[in-house]
Amino acid sequence: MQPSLELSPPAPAPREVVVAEWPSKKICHCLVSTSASSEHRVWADLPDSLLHLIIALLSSFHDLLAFTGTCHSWRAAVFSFPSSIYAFVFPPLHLKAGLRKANRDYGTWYYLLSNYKWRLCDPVRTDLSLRRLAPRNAPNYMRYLGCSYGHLIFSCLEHLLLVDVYTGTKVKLPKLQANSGCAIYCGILMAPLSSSSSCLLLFSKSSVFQWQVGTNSWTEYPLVSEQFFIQIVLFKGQMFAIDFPHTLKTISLAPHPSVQEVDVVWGEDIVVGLNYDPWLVVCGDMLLMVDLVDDLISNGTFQVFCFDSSAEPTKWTKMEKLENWALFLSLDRMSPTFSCMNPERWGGKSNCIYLPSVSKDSDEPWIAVELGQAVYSTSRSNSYILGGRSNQLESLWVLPSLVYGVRQ
Amino acid sequence: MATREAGKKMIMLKSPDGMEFEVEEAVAMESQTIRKMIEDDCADTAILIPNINSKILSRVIEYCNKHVPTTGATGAAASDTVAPAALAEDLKIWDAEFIKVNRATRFDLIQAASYLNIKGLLDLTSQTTIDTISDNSLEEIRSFLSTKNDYLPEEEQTIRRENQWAFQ
Repeated sequence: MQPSLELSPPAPAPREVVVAEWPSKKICHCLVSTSASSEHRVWADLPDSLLHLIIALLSSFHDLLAFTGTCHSWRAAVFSFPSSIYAFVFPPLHLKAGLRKANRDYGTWYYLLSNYKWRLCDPVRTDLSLRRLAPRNAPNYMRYLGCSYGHLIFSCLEHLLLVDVYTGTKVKLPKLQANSGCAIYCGILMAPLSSSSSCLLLFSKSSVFQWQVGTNSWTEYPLVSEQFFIQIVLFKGQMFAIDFPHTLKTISLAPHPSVQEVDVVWGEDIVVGLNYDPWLVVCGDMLLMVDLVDDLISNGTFQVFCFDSSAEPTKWTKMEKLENWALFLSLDRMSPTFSCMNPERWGGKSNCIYLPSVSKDSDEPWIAVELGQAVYSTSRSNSYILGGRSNQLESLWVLPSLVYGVRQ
Repeated sequence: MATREAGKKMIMLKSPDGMEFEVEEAVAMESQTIRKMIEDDCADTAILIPNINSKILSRVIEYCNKHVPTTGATGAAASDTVAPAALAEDLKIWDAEFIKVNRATRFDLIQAASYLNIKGLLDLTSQTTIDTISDNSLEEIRSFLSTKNDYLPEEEQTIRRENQWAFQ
């Protein structure tokens, strides 16, 4: 869900060694004294360049929490780091929202928020979990519109609500014009809420509504799309969406809102499953489409395609292996997808797709499916990989807002 | 380059407290900072390392001695020729023992590693720091790091709220 950023941590900053000035003497006094004297050992005073080296080795949200808790300078160092870098380093947290469909209206499901407790769990520390009460005093029944930068997005007619998954903090948004709320089916934040340039976009089939952080009104732009967008991601500063059947689109707001189909060629040997909606996943500097192919007898298997934008025309290339990546998909396509590099660092597995499991089927909150392995084989009738956008908001993956920077 | 091919060329490292350490050039060049100096022909025979006392410098040299690549190098440190996997495992065990030092020493080591730009030692000391903070309570971490709690009460409260569940 994040724009692609350079992955490698900055190289260690060279010390102030001025090579040109070194005379070729027997003894070179060329290592310049830069740090505090060693008698004065204060870890808080480690230079940022050194702290950043340590931060680059953090492998979980749990580590990040520990690091930010120690002192001001360490916290500042964490947040001065290009934050989206963590998005590919940490596994996301598993959020068990447990929200069940409560009321159906106009073909969409509404949830009664106030009855629920949420549970957050870090795959790195499964022994710990954080429980939060779902927000009180929210309008009774809310629709789930998506989740981005650690915030769940809900609507109820003209009322809009953002809920910080980690802190439980609610952000009430200005009301939409009457009646426009009903047709909205998904929403996405364009940047972390802590960023003043962030805005929230809400999509209906005929319009996109934009709310700029800090303002108290909505701007409506006409944006006609024949299909519902199944999933929207931000990739290399551009908004990509996929709709059914597996058509890649780009959405731009400037100079005027428009949707454009990306001309992508499929290899001849590629067969996509048409039973389920695909997922889009940003994976480092790759844009992936994950497709579930069902043999209609017993098994489903994942296929992963990489968007090759260097080809002319662009094409989907099938990936046999995810190499050192793991992907995190939620069953609801409105929920974000994540990817994580070198999951072995935190005890995860490369070349695997992590999926929340439905509580009825398993005691484990999630399963890891190796690419190429069958997703389900025992109870096909109870297959839990469902398509569409009307799923229960049972559980999803999320990176807390804290990862994306300091809040006020 | 020519000096490297010689293999056994020795370099004198001097600590500010007057100690001198004669090391193989290849060992000294585990430090990118020193390597650059040597490659720029700045260091003929002796290099003064101003920030690192003899105690820490000797540990750093011990580390570099152990980690200098065996290929192409000769001498005591590289004499044991073992299979790469076994060697890596051996190094891991050795590293784990090496870093079992008190916090002041570890602090000096991380500074020295950064200063001399020795990637392996920097990774080792950094990872050990993360392991320390990851497995302990906030009080323990602060005490270990000799870090004063410089948060205002309300900030401290926010942090407790953020962290409590994860550090019981």
